[in-house]
Amino acid sequence: MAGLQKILLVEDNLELRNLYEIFLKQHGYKVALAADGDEGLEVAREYKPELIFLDVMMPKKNGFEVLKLLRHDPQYHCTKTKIIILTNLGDSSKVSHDVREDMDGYMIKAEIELQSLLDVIKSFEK
Amino acid sequence: MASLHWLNNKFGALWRSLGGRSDSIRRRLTILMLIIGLAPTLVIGWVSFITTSNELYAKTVDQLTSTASKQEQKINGLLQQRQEGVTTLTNRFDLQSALGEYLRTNNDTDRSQLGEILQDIKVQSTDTQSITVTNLQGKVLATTVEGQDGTALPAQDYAIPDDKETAVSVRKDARDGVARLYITTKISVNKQQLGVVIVVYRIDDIIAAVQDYTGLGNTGETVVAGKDATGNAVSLFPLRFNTDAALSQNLNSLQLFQENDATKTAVDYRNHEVIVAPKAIGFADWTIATKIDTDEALAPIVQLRGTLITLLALSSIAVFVIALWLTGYFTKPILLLAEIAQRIGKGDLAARINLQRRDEIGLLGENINAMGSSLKDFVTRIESERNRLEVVLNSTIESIVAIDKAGTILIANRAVLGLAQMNRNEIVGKNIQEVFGWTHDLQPVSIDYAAKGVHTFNDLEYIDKAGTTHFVRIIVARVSDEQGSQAPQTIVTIHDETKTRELENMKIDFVSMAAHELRTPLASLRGYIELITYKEGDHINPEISKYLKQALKSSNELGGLINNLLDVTRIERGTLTLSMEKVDIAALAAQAVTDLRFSAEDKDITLGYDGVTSGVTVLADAIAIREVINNLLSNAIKYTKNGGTITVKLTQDKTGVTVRVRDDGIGIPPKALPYLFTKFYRVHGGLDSGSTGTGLGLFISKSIIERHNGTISVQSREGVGSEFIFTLPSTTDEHLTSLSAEKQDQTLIRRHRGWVTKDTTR
Repeated sequence: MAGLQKILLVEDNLELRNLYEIFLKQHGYKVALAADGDEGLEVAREYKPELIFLDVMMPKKNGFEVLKLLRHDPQYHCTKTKIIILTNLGDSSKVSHDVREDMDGYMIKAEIELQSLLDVIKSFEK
Repeated sequence: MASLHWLNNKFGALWRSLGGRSDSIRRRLTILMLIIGLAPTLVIGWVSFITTSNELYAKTVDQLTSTASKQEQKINGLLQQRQEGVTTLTNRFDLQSALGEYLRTNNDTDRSQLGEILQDIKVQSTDTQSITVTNLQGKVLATTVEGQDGTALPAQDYAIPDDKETAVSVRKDARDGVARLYITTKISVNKQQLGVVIVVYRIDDIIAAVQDYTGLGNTGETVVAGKDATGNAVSLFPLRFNTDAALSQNLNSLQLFQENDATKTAVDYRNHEVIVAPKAIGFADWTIATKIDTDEALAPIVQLRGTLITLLALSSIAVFVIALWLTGYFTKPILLLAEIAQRIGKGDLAARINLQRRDEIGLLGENINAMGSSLKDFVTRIESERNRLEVVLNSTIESIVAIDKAGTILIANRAVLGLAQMNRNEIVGKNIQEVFGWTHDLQPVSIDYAAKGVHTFNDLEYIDKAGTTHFVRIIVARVSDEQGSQAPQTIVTIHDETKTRELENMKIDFVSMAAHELRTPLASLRGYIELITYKEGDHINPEISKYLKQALKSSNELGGLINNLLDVTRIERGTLTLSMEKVDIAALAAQAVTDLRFSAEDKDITLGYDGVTSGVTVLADAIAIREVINNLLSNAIKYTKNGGTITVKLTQDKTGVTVRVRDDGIGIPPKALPYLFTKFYRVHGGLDSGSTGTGLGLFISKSIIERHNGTISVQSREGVGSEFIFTLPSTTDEHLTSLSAEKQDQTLIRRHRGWVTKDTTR
């Protein structure tokens, strides 16, 4: 596996967090977890992930706030990290221009197939 | 009638009392009856007046003429008597011879002789005042007048016109001023004139005759006119009303004698109008005129006139009184009837009239009474009807106002007061535009309240007096073509949807929230099913694998349903936003057909595509349009029997792109067609197997297509099949160019199955 190894999964739903952790670990990735926005920022700073899956609807800080801090605050060392937003919103026009600039892509949670997680990761390994 | 106006002005007050109106029947009838009643009296009076007047005149003239004749005879007689005396005198031999002797001798003895003869003659006639004999030159030869002998007389005293033997005149004696008759005659012997004899007579008898006014009333008299020394016509004798006028009163101006007309009126010396009958006394060259004042002569006529006028006045009054009574008899009840009708008209429905008459007017009165009763019943009925209507109006929860053609609010029910937070006085009588200012998205909306028919205006806002915003639907119904003001023309029903809308919003919020909440566990559920598949891989028991596939399929369906619900909530909230971009609709449709072919093959359905597979660009939200095509295809598969055929056909023309999804399935009942695109509508009685769905697909599809300014429709025959057709408008190049700049962010996003990344290939 060239490139991407360290993945941070920020997701408040325990079941989904477990599901994605199990699946990604099965496929050989190192996975760190966070259950809310603050924890996500904390873990990101310590763990220095190469890819972050970032849920939007979370306690403490929502995903868009976290995204902004990660991208623009150097203390998190994540200005170049690939960040994929996990959203429930079905239409992209609701996403603000800034968010669209900052993220590397988004996934609609209800439509996520496990295989597509791998597709996303692989698309950044090229 | 001019006379009517004259009467109106002249006797306005009295006249108006004949009737309240300027032109009343009573007045006209009164005038008519006056004319009819007085005309005969007038005509007969006039004719008899003229006749009598003429007769009286003629009679007067006759009388005057006869009196004049009598006077003429009398005066003529007296004159002739004296004339004859003079003639006898001049023919006396002793006088002739004495005169001749004296003229021959010219001595005093002969002259005395002559004088004595003259004295003798004078004594013989008592009338004689004096006798004078002159020679041809007027020198007195002998006279009975003392002291005149030998004097020369003025020419007027002795001159005799050449053609006459005798001159007769009345003159005043210069000495005593008494008027006397002078007869001057030539005295001739053997045809040779020796001299002139002048005899002066007293004329008391003639004056007495002239002054005999018998049969001449109080003003009649006979005027004797002759010429005075200067040739002027003068009255020879004293006048009845001017005894000093003899020989001095100039009568020329009286024009009494210049006409031959025997019946003539003239103006006499007193300036009185008189009727006059003239007569000539031939030999004396005199004229007599018997006259009488017209006033006196025609006095009976004046009396007659007075009588006639009195009669006319009396009959006028009589006719007037009768006319008043008679016309009053007919018009007074009519006025009463008019008054009662007026009172009824003004709303006093209890007003009745009792004329106590059995004639036609009485009948009219009874009918008016009956009409009043009917009206009262009618109004009572209408009032109770109105009260009932008011109760109904006020008990309904809909706000209802009635307005007239000017927009003035005539009626407002109780619900309106509650809606507007106003009292009745603030609404009724005001213009509806002032009271209710409707807005839509806070923009004022003007409504044509006079439009015919029934019109509904949805989604309006109204801010009541308390400041609360209401969401309303109003229905404007023109109910009457009545043009008058105060007549209800339009009924405006205001349906307050605020509460409904709140509930609706709550429902949408609830559905939206529920759907969102469902997505996370669904994602989890599906993910774990996938995880099992991944973990077990090919070692999985085929039966278990089949179950897992079914579970995955069901969870995908559940995801679809949830997405539909979310779409509906977005549509209802108006927050369904589309990402418009250049879309190759042909490729998109062809791909959809390919993707769904497996589902179709499960039912042995042949799914075909008819059209180009790329190169047809429209401006659209690719995901939304894909959803529409998926919806239509899923429905077609669902409602087509095993072994059927479904065809997707794409055509393009100048106006846009048309996509048809045609099946030979069970079709749609005609009665269902109108509701097909409404929310939650499902056709019942279709195929039992596989006929699942929320009934939202077509509603969402319609919303999406309409948001693209396209159209969607359906044609179907039961048992034959259905065809759903949607169109998308074509887009100009400029449109596409401007859009591509505007929506650059979105075109950078590239979609994959379930995930999206920035398009790094650009």
